[in-house]
Amino acid sequence: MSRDLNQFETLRKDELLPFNKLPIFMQEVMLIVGIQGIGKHALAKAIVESSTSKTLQCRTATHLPLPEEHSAERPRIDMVVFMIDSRSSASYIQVEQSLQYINRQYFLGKICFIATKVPTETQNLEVESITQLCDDHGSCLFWMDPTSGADRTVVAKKLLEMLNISAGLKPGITPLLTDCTHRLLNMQSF
Amino acid sequence: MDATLLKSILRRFKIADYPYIIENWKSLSKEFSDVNLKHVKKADFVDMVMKKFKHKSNPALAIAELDILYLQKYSNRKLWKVLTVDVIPEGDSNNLSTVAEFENRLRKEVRSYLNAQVRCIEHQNTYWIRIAVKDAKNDWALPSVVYITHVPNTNYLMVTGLKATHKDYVLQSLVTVLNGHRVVDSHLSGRCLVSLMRLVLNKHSQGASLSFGGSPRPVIEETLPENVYNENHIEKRNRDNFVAENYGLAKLPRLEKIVYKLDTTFKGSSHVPGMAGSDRPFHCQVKFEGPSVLEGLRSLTAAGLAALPMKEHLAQDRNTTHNTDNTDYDKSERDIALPSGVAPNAAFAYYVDMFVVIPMVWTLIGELWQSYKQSKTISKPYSDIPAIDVLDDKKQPRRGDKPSKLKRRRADRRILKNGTTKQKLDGVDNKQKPKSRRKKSDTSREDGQKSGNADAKQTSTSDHKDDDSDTSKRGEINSGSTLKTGD
Amino acid sequence: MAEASTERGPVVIQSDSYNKAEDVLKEHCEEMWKEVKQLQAKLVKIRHQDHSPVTSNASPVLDIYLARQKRLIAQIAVMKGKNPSKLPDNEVIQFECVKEELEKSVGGLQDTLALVRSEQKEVDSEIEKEEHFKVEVEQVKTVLQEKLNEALRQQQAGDNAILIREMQRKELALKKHCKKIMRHMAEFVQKHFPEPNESQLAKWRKQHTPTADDSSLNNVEVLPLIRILQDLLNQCIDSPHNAYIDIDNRFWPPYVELLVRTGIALRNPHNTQQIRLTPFHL
Repeated sequence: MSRDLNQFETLRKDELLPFNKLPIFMQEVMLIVGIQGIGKHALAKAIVESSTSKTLQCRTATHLPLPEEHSAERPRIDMVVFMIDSRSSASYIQVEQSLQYINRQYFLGKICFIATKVPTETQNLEVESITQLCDDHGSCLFWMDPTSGADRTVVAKKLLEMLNISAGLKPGITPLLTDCTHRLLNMQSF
Repeated sequence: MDATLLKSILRRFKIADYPYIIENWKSLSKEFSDVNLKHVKKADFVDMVMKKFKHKSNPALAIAELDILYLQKYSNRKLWKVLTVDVIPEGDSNNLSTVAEFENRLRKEVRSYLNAQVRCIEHQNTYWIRIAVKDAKNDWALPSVVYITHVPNTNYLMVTGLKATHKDYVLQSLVTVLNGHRVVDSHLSGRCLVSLMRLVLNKHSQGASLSFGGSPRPVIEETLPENVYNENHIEKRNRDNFVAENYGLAKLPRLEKIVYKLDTTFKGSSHVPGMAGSDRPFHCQVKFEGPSVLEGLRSLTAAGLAALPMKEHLAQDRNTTHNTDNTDYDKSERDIALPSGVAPNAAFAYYVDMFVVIPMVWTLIGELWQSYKQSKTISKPYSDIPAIDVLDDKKQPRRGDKPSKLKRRRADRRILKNGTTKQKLDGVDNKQKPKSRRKKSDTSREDGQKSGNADAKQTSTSDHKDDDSDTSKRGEINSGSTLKTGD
Repeated sequence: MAEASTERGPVVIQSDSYNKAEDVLKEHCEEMWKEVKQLQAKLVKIRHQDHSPVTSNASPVLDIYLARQKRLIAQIAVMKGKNPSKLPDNEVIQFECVKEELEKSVGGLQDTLALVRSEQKEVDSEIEKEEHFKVEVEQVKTVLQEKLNEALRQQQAGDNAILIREMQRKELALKKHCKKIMRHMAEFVQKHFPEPNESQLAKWRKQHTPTADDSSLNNVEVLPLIRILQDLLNQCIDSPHNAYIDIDNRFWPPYVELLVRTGIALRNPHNTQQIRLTPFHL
């Protein structure tokens, strides 16, 4: 049954959909989104190294919607990770804009935010704005220093666990389970 | 006086430079052959030099040499301006082939106007000229020194330290020695002398070989492991190609500042009704500043933070080797590629905080460029007004004045150039002085025109530091008085 | 032999049933895959119909929570309705599954066993050490107990005479020891640091006091080092509050310097003509 779109709802053609493709056996795919130079490839390398599965795929993008050239070959994406640089408002803005292109189904445990770099006095976003963004989308937030190998491995391991669950490779656990057990970052009720 | 001057010059050097001095200072090189430089302190070295200096017959020469040595090493401490000499294409009868001849001629010329010492040294195929002008009133004061670098057989001079009082004389003597017609400000200045030379001598390099004489550095490809896949790699590759095409692969010369000035009518009256119907010219200035602006622009483009049409505009401007660009809305022939009014918006959007003032500035600038493009119908009222004379009350040439002996007006400079007075007022050389005094902040002259733009004056910083770029950039949208100029 | 053959026997016979088991599993997988595809098709259809629009308000958290609630309810319903899946009926499959589980648990248990054994070893060695310690401590305790008893006994006996005799005996022994040491020291010092003879004195005097009056100095008897040391010692022990002795002509300055430089004697900081013995006993 289709309903009419009211004035606040817009249809996005290039949305990222969680279930539009069939899953491939034992394959897990993660997408990392963030502006250029934020450390996506370093994180991706850390993830690939920490994982033992040969069918892990890590895709990186600077913005959504993804370019259409490969949309046919692209496998179904199990988890999306957004990276925000806490010193650059451009990265925040890009992430905000990219969030418009994510289907709501992803927000039930398949999305995660990573904030990099400690904000300094002179150049920073408000930390509150990042945490507010995460709360608005009901997702969890990690902090990471992209230059430190130890940080990267720790976050990579956590992401791998989440990815395993999102791809359905852990019997009995659904992403919603982990999602429901996370708490709000800012104690504000809406 | 000589001794104090020498001491002051010597003290400026660092201890690590002493071997360099000993090697290159020709006046005192003989006496230095026995010097042991291990663990020598500054004071000791200075004393030693002073002792040897006492017996010197020609102290001025030695001082001049040392000064030039210092400048060669630390040329980045001074601000160099590039001037172009319009050479009269005559025969080679006056071709000065050696430094000595050049020096003699120059000295003769300068001496006819000023009490100065002139010294020329040739170093790595360029002439380094030092003119030390003694102050007429205070004989004991240290001389004010002008340094000029000239590449022989080209038209370019790099000048630093030129004071307004001596400017006319010095430039006139140089023009005469070089068989020139007049000297023109190239609108190019910076701290790194080598970069300026590269820019100026390699004016015509463009496109993929845009290197200004530098050597291309190898492109480093990032190798990703198998399972990592960049979704935007086609875009990235396109961008990299574009950057390589337009900016070249070599390390770009270092410029500290690029300034764009625009002079047109205010067209954003939908947002600022108060300025509607105002016909007065509206001055805009955009300045890019940083340790190496060209590299920064390239990195910004490579990082995807600058929109594509704008890059062409900036890239092409490298070929005109200016770093202050005054656009006259009157000229429609300029080769600035601005395909639509959208282009500047995208770039400016990154330099101005998104949430403050953006709509206004967007439309404002969009309309400005629109008006620039439609300028043919509006140009008439302004072409009659002589450029700066009305707007800059301070700098008007006072024709009624009798030229005093030492302070000659610009009007007289025009007489000197080719023996006839020039009436043309918007020649480029007219704009040298005020432009060279251009400061970043607004001067009080612009009160009347500031009203509409007061809230558009923003100094906002959004730094985009990339992992692989080492420049930080600030863009400012200012209103400052500008000058119409033809190039 | 018979047992071996029977053990090998099942392996040979069951290759057929293995194939059958594989077939069963494949069928099972195919069924599940078909289900997945059907669900997928359904999802795509729903998506096309519903369009799942994204609202453009800034805080989609309400929508997300609503969606989450819906999903949770759906998941609970599904889980309630579904019977727990059981293994297919094929014996081989069940056997293999159980075997795998058992092997996993056996492996886990073996690891645990190894770990526990090593821990036990550690604990044993600790116990040994503690026992040793205990034995030693007991010995110390017995000795102390004896001493305590003796002291108590003596006190109880109230026989001061014995105590006094003990003390006197100790005192004599110590005095004898002291005298012996002093004698040794005196011999040593006398041998190596004798009193300066006339020629040495004269030479020294010439060097250091050229203008002095010869006659006055000649009369003075210069003390040997041993006497200086004796004086210092006596002064130090007898009057510790004023342990300084005055240097006068009898003290040969080189000896004084020697003592000061080796740290045996110290000058009085307020009065350079006084020295004292360094208080080694403090």
